[in-house]
Amino acid sequence: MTALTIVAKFWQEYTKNTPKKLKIIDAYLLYVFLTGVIEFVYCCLVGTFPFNSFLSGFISSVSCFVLGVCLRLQVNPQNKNQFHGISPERGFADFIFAHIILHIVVMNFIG
Amino acid sequence: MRFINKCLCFVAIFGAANAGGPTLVLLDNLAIKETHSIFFKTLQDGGYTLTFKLADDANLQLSKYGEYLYQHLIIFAPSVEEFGGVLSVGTITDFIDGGGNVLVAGSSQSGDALHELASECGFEIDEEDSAVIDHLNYDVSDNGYHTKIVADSVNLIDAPAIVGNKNVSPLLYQGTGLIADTENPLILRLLTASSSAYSYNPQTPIRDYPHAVGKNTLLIAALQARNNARVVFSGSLYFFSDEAFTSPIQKAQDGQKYEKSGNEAVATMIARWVFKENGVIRVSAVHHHRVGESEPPAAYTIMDDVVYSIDVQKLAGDKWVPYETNDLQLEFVRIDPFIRMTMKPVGNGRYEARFKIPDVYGVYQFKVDYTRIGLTHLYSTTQVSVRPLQHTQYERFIPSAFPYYVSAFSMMGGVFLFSLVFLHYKEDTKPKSE
Amino acid sequence: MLPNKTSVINTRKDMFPDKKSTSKQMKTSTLTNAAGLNSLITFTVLLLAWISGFASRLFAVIRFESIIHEFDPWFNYRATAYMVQHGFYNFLNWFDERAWYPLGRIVGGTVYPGLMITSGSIHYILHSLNIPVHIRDICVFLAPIFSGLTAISTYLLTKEIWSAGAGLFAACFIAIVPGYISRSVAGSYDNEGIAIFALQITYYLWVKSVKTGSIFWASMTALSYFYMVSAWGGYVFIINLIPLHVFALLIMNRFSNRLFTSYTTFYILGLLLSMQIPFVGFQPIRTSEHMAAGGVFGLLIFVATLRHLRTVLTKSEMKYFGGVVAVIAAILLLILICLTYAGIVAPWSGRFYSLWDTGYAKIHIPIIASVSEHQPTTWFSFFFDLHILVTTFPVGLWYCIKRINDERVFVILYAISAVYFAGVMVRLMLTLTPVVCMLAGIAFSDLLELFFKEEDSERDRSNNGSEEESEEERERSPGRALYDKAGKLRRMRHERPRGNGDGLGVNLRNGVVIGAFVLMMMFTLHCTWITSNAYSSPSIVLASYSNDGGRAILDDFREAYYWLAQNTPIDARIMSWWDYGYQIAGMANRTTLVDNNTWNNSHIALVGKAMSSNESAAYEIMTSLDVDYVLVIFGGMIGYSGDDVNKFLWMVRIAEGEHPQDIRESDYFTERGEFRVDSEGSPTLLNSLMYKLSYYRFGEVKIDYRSPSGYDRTRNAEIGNKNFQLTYLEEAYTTEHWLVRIYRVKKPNEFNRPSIPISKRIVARNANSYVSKKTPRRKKGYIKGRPTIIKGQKPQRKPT
Repeated sequence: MTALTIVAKFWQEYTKNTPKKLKIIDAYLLYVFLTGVIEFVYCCLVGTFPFNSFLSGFISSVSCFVLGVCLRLQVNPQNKNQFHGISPERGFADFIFAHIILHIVVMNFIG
Repeated sequence: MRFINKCLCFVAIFGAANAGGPTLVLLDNLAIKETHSIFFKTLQDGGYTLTFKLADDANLQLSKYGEYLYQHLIIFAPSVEEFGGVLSVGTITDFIDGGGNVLVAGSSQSGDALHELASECGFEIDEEDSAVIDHLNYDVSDNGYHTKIVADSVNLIDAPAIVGNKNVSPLLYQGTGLIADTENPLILRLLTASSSAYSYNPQTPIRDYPHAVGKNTLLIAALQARNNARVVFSGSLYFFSDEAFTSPIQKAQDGQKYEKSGNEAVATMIARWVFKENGVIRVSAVHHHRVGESEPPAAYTIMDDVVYSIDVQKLAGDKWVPYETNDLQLEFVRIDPFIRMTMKPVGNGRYEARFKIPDVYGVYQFKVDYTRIGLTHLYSTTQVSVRPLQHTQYERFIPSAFPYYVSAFSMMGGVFLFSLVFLHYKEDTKPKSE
Repeated sequence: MLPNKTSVINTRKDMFPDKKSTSKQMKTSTLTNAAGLNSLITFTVLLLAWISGFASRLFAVIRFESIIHEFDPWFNYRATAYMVQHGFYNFLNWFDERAWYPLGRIVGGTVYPGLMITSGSIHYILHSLNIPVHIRDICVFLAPIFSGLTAISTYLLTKEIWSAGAGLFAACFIAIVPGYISRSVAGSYDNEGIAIFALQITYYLWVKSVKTGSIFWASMTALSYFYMVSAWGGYVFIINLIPLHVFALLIMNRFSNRLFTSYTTFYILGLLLSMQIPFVGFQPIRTSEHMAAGGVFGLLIFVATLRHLRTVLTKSEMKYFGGVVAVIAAILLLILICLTYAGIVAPWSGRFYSLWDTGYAKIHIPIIASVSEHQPTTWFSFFFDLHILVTTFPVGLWYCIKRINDERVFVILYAISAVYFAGVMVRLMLTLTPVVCMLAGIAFSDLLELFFKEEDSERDRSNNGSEEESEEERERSPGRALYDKAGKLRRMRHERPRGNGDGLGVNLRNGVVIGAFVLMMMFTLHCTWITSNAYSSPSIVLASYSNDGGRAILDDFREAYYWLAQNTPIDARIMSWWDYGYQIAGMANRTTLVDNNTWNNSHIALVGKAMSSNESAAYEIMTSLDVDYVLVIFGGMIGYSGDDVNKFLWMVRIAEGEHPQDIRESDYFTERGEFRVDSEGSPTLLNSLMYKLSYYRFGEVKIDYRSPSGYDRTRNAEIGNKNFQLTYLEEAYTTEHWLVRIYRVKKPNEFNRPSIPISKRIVARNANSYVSKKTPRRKKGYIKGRPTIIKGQKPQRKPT
């Protein structure tokens, strides 16, 4: 039982069982994750000079990731009984609301 | 209240032009007027209006209705115990604090009043009946006690503004010695005795250690007070007499003869200095502004480039002319000086300094503190505040931060695209599933 | 219907335990009736709570005038006035060169702007509506207005946690409880006035977001947290309590996706928002105080991933995975510890560290130890500030523990941590007060619910109200039954038998209800009395009462500041102890050297050194700092105990911290270790500048015929060093009751000549020196050795 077999099995399960909508969200999450990683690596290489810019960019990607994960949780039909009163539409509206706040603050902070 | 009074008198005196001026001369007896006629004549030729009075005259007064009647005071009354009229040691010190200049001459028989006055000015006159004795440097015309001593011109202070050229014949001196604190920066030792002199009562055998010995013995001392009033104390009235001015000098020990003593030259220069003809400088204008502007801003910002300029003038006769020097220093001080630099003369008595304000904010002062021996104390301080950068003055659009800007905007674009796709997705699947 | 009890000042409301039951089951016209009645009662009660809270805080305004109290509010007021005058951006960039004299202070970056922004926006709104209210009045009355808002937010929070009835109780309690009033009277224009409101709102939104799991509520929590960060330095409490709550829930195995959603959203948005305040800057990433939140964030994501994987992978795979991940987690923890040691992650700052290690501040940071608010709390002040709430609050706490769910865990943790902190520092009684009010509200509500419900047997038949409520919630939130079911069953079994039988007689029930109401009335009385007597003094105006009840006002402080404002040049620099810095800057509008911000300890130590040294050493320090005036507070004439001589030892300690070679605290005590100002006092003390400035000319004062002259009423001793002169300072002003004394520092050019005093002369004075013979009429002087000429006689020739 190696890590590879686990990963392969996981991948198989994932492609089979997850609905399309969630896969869209997952693709978006992957994109955000890669952006965040690239930013962090860049900062480690170059240094933290405009620290507020780095923080704002990095936190922007982290929070997009987090909000995406939360949206995925709320949209996932398996979790419906955990989120009583929050339909997927309501979830998406909240998601956009949080994003508005996020991007306004990021613009203020980025300097 | 007295403080304000003094200020008014001070202003009143210095409003007038400085060459010459009304002078009160206090004498022991009217004979001094004759025995010191050369000195007085030189003064009167220089434009001073001399008023001769006896020191115990009952009508003496220095000020009337809050204004000083005289600008200068000469006290050639060594043996006065108490001044007459309104005058006293207190009023004379008030006169000094009000900006008046005083020239005092004592002798071996100095009275109490002079002792008090000297102590108020930071000197002490040696005890009564004591004289400066020098067994190696006395004049041939001495009366045997070796009290008429010859002071070489090398013992003069190194300040041409006060004593003029040091290249004069030796000086004749007969009188008591002065003691002053060597540490005090306001006190100037104009003429000291040579290392073989001491001050003691010549009639009594020596029992205790003399108060003044060797080079410590001050013959002529001066004080430039903090308000730039000048006081000169000479231990010998004889120094200013006609006899001392005109007699030839010959030391009894080594016999070199000089035709004329240097007393007249030195005494005249000292008199000119005390009465503020020489060595008077002032600040006439101060400007400071950022490079490229002409008016000072409300507050400087850190790392600004600043230009500071000051105009210094010197009194020559009746007029103020530009003063040239190359050692005028500027300090930019906030408790401690952050910047200290020599100012560059740019002609016409104007000095300029250009520097960059340090990276520390606070309340600073531009300080010019110029003290040279014989010159009035120049002190000018201008307070400015240095503030940190405004939030709009920081760097923006830094190249090394472009990836962060790009990523932030890509996040926004990403969420926009994603929401488009996500919201419209359902409609695609519906026909698909059907 | 149900009995309504009215009291003198406050109305007590009763509860409708069953109001919710009607809303769902009966869809008739009575529906609107009952719901309407509910909201009417709620509205009325909250309005009354607001009004009573507002009115209770007005004692100082009615007795004295509408004035800003104490010290810190003066700075806040000055900053607000500046902002209103110059605009918001200029306020952010404000560099104040009239404080901390040569160093200046960047106000924009060292202040929590929430308070000023709140007042400024209220001012702006009112002025744009053409209602011209002066900014000072807005500042004075801001805290009472916000107390009403705090009551409303407490109601909301308690409603989320327990029930609406408990919420109403809690709102009424917090409106008048002295623990909160102490920091929010009219005129106390300080951060805590709005910070408690922000705290409660943030907690309400957090509880709501945990309950619903909605991103919307989590973002609102983040926004409210942002407001709290802008308002008070105590936001650290929120950012540590919420992660603690999440952590506790994880440990209790109560992880849910709702929790994940709400905390992650809140944390990441809150982190970004909190860094927008210039004063906070990058601290949320760098200091130990914020590390817990980040750690829990990571932990939560980790746990969520694990759970998600568990649904996908088998157990053995999980074990393997678990091993790998555990190793990684340990490595990360190690990295964090190394970073803290290396200093990259800043350790706990002094103020917060002293909460854990209470002895730390006394040894290392005398400035923190010297503030009276930072002393440990006594038992007395618990009762003083909270009265019966402190006894009923454990009851509420126990109820919450018994019927636990996610949000009640939060309240339990809040209560425990608040109790600990309140025990450490008197000032933090304020953070204990809201939770005590909430839990006491729960206790009273439950108690009265029990005993009220018993009266109505028919209501009893149709399910208990609390059961109704939970049924309500169960319908709304099916998921809740999962974890709550056990407790609910227990509850039902518990209360059914009691309800069904006639276990408690009417007398007992009435007695208990009346007893509870009497307790609450006494609480009200206590609160009002405490507010009136203890917390309504503006401390800038002192009042004393003579034995016939008449009042004497001592307005010395304002007299002195007004004198300064009118008689000194506009750029004069005043040196005083840091307590009065803000007041001098606010009222006298002069530049000060040190003030209450105490951000630069070395500067304060310099001032302390100047006050503790003798006059010449102090003069050197004062000239290097360009001081023009010195201000001291002296209470010996009237017996005021908060004067500078009583604070003197703190000055010495702070100075010793920076200049241990020059100042030693032991020098200022007698050999036996006492601090005395009479003739037995240590000579260093009797010659210090502070002593001289306080007691200058006091040696000539005889207060009454019995005590000796120079009798200090505060220290009850006759002073030891009387009739001395000051060389380098001169007295400028002393107020009417000698409370404030102002001295002017002489400039170097006033010491014009270096005169030699008689004691220092080398040449001895003549024994038979001349004595003045002058008379007002005969002003002739005297010249030694001058021949005296008498008319008619031959002159006697004296041998020369």
